[in-house]
Amino acid sequence: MPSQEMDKLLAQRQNVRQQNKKSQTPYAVGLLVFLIAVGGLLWTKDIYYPIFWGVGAALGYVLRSSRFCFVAAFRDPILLKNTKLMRAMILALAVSSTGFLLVQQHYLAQHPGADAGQLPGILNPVGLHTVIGAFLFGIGMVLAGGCASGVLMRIGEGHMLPWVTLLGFLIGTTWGAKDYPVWYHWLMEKAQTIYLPDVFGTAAAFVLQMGALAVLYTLAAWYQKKHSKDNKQENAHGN
Amino acid sequence: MKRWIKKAWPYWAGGLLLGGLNVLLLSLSGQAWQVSGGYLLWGAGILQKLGVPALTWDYFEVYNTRYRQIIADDSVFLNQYTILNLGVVAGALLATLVSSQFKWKKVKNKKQVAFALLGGILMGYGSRLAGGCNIGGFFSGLASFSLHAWVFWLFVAVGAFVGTRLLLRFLVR
Amino acid sequence: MEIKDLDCLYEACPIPLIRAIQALRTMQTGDILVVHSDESCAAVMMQEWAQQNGYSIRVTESDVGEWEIYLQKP
Repeated sequence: MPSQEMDKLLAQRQNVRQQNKKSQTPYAVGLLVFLIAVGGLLWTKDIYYPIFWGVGAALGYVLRSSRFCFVAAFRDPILLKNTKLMRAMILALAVSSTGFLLVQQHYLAQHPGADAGQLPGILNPVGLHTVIGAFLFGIGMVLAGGCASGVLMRIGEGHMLPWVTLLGFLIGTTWGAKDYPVWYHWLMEKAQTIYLPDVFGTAAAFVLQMGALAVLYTLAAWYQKKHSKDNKQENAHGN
Repeated sequence: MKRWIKKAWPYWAGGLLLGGLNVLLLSLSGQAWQVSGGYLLWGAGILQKLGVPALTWDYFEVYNTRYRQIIADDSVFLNQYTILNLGVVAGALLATLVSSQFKWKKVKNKKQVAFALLGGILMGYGSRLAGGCNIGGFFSGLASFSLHAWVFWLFVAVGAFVGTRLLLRFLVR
Repeated sequence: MEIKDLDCLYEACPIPLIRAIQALRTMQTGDILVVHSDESCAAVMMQEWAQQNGYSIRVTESDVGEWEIYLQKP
């Protein structure tokens, strides 16, 4: 939509403002050198450490560059009826599910009859504790304005507030570990780890999971369209 | 060039890359992306330094023996989980500097601090119960075809709904 | 036509957008709201929101790590 008034206002203010924004590229180059040096240092301690360091840095780079935020992915469909980030997350889940299954299949070929809990990836027992934990997590992440990964990303951006969230997270997660035996005997003892390919067979589990993600994607797209005033959805994504 | 560097990448590109990087991490190291495990080791390690024997709690000795080796090696502060977390901070900082948008952003008021702390505690406690955060419990969990991650998804959304109500009620003036 | 500035510096997501929506509610057609934010995701979020709700929007990086977001009520 054209808006000459806004363009005029913007130009006016731009002229008044002194344009001496400093480039931070030298710092970026310095940091890159430092990152590589630390990677080398870590390599002397453990050959796997540089992998965690490098992939971690890549994840942080992508999170910040695309303004990706897991909190917003869950929150914005509710708060703003916008599902764009939720759909991007579903896409990410489809990609990683495919890759993870291949890695798991490879592992199973080498370790026949491996237990679900030993497979590569993160497989946890499911039960009422998952329900309570996820519910508390959902409340907390919206109040704090960032989840565990968002806190790390925002610290990297120079925000001070996520340091407080980090402190809270450390307190909460350590507290949870202290209380764990109580919860364990109440809820988790009989809970089972359910690996979907064990239930449905590998091919069917894959098709089912991808199908579920596709249905959710379509629903999310429909939901946003229903709550949009115009239909020119997919262009701007600027600064 | 300058414009291109400053421009945010589309969400879908971010999603594809995050998914791909998680697969890369799993195939290279055998370990999926997770965040809260590193936080737990930091928290317990700090308590230990303060004189509370957190690292010998039943959690580490009986219920979750995954971190035992790290504790035995005395590398609670520097291990695969914490290095991964520090990497994310460093990567985000690098991206911010590359686009010349780094700024120290101070805390505005006490209310922010209270909610950040409360939110952090709720997330932390929840992550211990559910066996991970949005990343380990959900993002990597779902990709691992574990049923718990689907349950997590459903109820983190319910929690986000309640959280949004609370946010609108108390945090927005 | 009225121009209103909204200071959302040091406010975390999604507060800047919520406050902008609240401010726009009290404004007239053609009025311009200028949101000041240092939250890197705020501009992206507001562009999404503006598009979805038929508002025109301009975004400029006013200082290092600070943005001005212009919204005009349709």
